[in-house]
Amino acid sequence: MTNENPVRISDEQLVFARLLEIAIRVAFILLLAGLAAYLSGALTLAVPLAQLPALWGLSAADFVARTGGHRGWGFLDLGAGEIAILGGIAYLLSVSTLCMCILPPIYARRRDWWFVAITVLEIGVLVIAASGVIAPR
Amino acid sequence: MPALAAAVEPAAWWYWPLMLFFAAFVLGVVAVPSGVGGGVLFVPMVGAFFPFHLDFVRATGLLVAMAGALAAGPQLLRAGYADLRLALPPALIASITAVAGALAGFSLPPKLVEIGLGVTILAIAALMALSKRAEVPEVAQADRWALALGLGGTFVDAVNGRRIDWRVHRTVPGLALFAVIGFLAGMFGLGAGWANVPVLNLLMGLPLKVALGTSGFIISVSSSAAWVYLHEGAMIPLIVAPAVIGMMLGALLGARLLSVLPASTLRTLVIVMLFIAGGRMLLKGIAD
Repeated sequence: MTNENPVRISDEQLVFARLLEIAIRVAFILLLAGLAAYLSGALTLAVPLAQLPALWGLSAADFVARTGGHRGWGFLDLGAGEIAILGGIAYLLSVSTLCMCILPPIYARRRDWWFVAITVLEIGVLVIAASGVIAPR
Repeated sequence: MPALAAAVEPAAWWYWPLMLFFAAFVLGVVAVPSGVGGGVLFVPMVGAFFPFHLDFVRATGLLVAMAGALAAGPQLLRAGYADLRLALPPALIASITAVAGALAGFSLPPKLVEIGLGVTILAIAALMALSKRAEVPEVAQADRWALALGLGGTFVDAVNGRRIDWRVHRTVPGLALFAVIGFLAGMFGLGAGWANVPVLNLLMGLPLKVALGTSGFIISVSSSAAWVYLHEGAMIPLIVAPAVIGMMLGALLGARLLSVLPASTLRTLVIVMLFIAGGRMLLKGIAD
């Protein structure tokens, strides 16, 4: 790995950047492929496209109630078309968490305990948020 | 769902998503190069002028802000304009409070959320109109928290080759403000570039370019609130996809336009758009 910047940039920052770049490229490919599949009609949809204009003015709670009640990871019970895009979005939201997993061991090796704690806590917050256990009601 | 079929709006299903794509494209051209990020313009403009419920607009606003920040992240990190170590403490605080903000946003009556969003957007527009930016703020001495956390560094401005050693002060007040920023960003789906940059630059003393780069990185790793929206069913693929793709394409063009259009002109345009959208959102909330 080369560092073209004349300023010293930490190794973990460069590794993080490289991982992030790869993960984001995958995310964009997933999203574009998902959109193409969603719009083409190649995949089944739980909510037909023509019905969406009657639904998108509803609150999220009413929308979910009218379309089969998919809260949390329940979106995986929707049609393959919706899963193609929402799965891509879930991956996009996971990208930074996945990349962050490399940091605690690096900081631990340096006995940089402040940053071990910060990165572990951050990963914990993101994992709890991703798990779907936090809900407004 | 036969009952729903009868209630379908007269416009074809593709009409508003197509309009959304064009709107997101234009907002991307204007918002990203002017330094405010995508979400802060997207939410009030789309919330005020499109038929989508604000729940879906806020969810999409967070995604739009995140996608733009993620795309730019690797380059900013490699060039030294974003500092990973500096970004992690505020990202942790903002991640926690953004979840609280998202939960609050779902728990409050829509009318209150609309009024709150309108007031917040008008305040942001006023803040942008009144605040100054300092290219390289004077920081005589790093504070003890910054020293304990090892915050500080060096970057070389590619424009003039100038090497700048930067230090951080007022760490605790800065981190406290990130708690507030995270809450508002999660509640209204605004992203947070509008507030991250002034806090990092004017309060904590970072050079403007490091503040801009690190702000984007903080947004990209603070995805916690977006999960809440996803789990609440607030992401409709037909709204999310055109908005994210339109915004990213617009940002690509906007980055090129930055070299021919003065940044101050774009910034003035953004402030005017924020005043219009914030005012309309406030009136909409009051009228509901």
